[in-house]
Amino acid sequence: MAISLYEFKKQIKEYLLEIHWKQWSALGVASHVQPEQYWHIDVESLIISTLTIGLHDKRLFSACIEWLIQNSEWVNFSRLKRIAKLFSRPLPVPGGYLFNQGILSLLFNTLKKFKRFVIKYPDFIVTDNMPSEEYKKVFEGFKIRGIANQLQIFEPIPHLQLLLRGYFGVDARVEVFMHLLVDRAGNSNAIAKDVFHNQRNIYTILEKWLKVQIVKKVNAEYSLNKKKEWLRVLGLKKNIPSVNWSKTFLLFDQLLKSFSITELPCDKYTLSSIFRDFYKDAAVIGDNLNLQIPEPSVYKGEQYFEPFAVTVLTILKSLMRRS
Amino acid sequence: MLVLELLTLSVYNTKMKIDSSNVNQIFSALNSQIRIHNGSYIALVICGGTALATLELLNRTTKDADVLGIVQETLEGLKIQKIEKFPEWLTKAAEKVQRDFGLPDNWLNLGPASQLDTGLPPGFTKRLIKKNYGDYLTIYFISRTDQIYFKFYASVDIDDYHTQDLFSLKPTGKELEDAARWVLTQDVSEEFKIILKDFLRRNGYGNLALRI
Repeated sequence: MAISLYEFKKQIKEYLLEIHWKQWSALGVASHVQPEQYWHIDVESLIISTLTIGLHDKRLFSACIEWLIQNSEWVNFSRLKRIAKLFSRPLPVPGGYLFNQGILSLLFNTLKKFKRFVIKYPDFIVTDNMPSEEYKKVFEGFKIRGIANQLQIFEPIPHLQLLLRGYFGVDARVEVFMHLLVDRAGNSNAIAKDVFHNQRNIYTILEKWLKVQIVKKVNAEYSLNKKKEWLRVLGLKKNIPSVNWSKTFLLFDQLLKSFSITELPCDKYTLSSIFRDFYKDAAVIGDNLNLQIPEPSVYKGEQYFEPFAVTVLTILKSLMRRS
Repeated sequence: MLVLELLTLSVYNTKMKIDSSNVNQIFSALNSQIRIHNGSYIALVICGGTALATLELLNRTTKDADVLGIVQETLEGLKIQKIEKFPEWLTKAAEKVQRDFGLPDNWLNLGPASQLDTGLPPGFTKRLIKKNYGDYLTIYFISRTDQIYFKFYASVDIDDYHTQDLFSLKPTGKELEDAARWVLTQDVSEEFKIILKDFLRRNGYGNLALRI
């Protein structure tokens, strides 16, 4: 399937924004987009990703802030900070960083202004990587428009994280449990990396669960006991499809942000070269979805544009599925 | 099936060679990467197989692009400046192009830079052939005449692909004589002159050997 440069850039933006809208819609934000029903939602990943690419759709950006004002008690701010750190990486092209940690400062100030933010937010590293004037303007101009409703949790899969927060409280146990339920066995270090929590904390949780036989441990790898029963208790009839939203959004946000840098030459070779920078990250996400990312060494120069672009759009389409 | 896939992959993974069909793509890519890496405009003098391929003087491949130096384009004309190493942004840009096209490591190198210490053939800069690859990169390829000079020099004591290149360029007697006289300025020892004359005789240019 041939795809032009223009079409690719247009589609990646449209698809990525639609995925965000679907998830926000499932979280109670008024929108014309069908709410997410197939994939589980990772609230912290969704917030950081929305703040990262939100200037492409300021309504989405505002919806995210408004939702946080309404529902901040459901958010794990310590985890939010960890994911923000992951996103605060330099892009492989000139034009700075993917995410500026200073955006969190602007966000917290805005939340405090609306007096609904009672949770102590964590410190974050102040770097020279500060948010742009455009971000400052958006936060300064923020107004409640009544598009984010109080959260209603009723869909087992999309709301699984929030459902578990209802059971466990807003702490690391939720993501550990989800990891074991959705994904697979793992050691405490690998799980901590995947779920963006402190490794010692994860180890303590898993060892406690081992004592009460919630998990079993084989060769330092923990797995959930009685998974079928847990699924039934949570109202889930089948295994939950697995996607690591932090890593997925990280990849696509980097792609979108890299393409949006105006100083960058806009040609198939340049994009192909950027694709090669992201190959390893894309391969991990593709594996999860049983989609194979084309091996870059097979294609020379700009020849890599089309196979990678088509596969990436296929991944996005599969993340947009409606059933 | 697996064997076939592995074979296919190994074929694709062999290092790409530079030839007349891809050389312009490779340098255009280098121009883009210089821009991406916040580099500045640069003009390079390139000799060797890459110049032969680009100017389609010979139909052969090469594994690298030999850079003689950088060109300063002044009102008085072109000046070639020797550099010990490439600017960091050019090194990084070249590394990206190497990865993107599967070229060998060090594909862009300053191998022949020391030639600037011993001197260039007379009229060298006037014969350079300019090719612009974008706002960040211009390449000056050495001419056929200067290929003859350099290939002659490289062929005298080693009979290898340089000798093949030299005679594939079909130099005239006059061109070979001019080249021989210049080559003798590069090494003024009597021993070298004997070797050079022997080289000419072995390749059917006995009369020329007698004249110089």
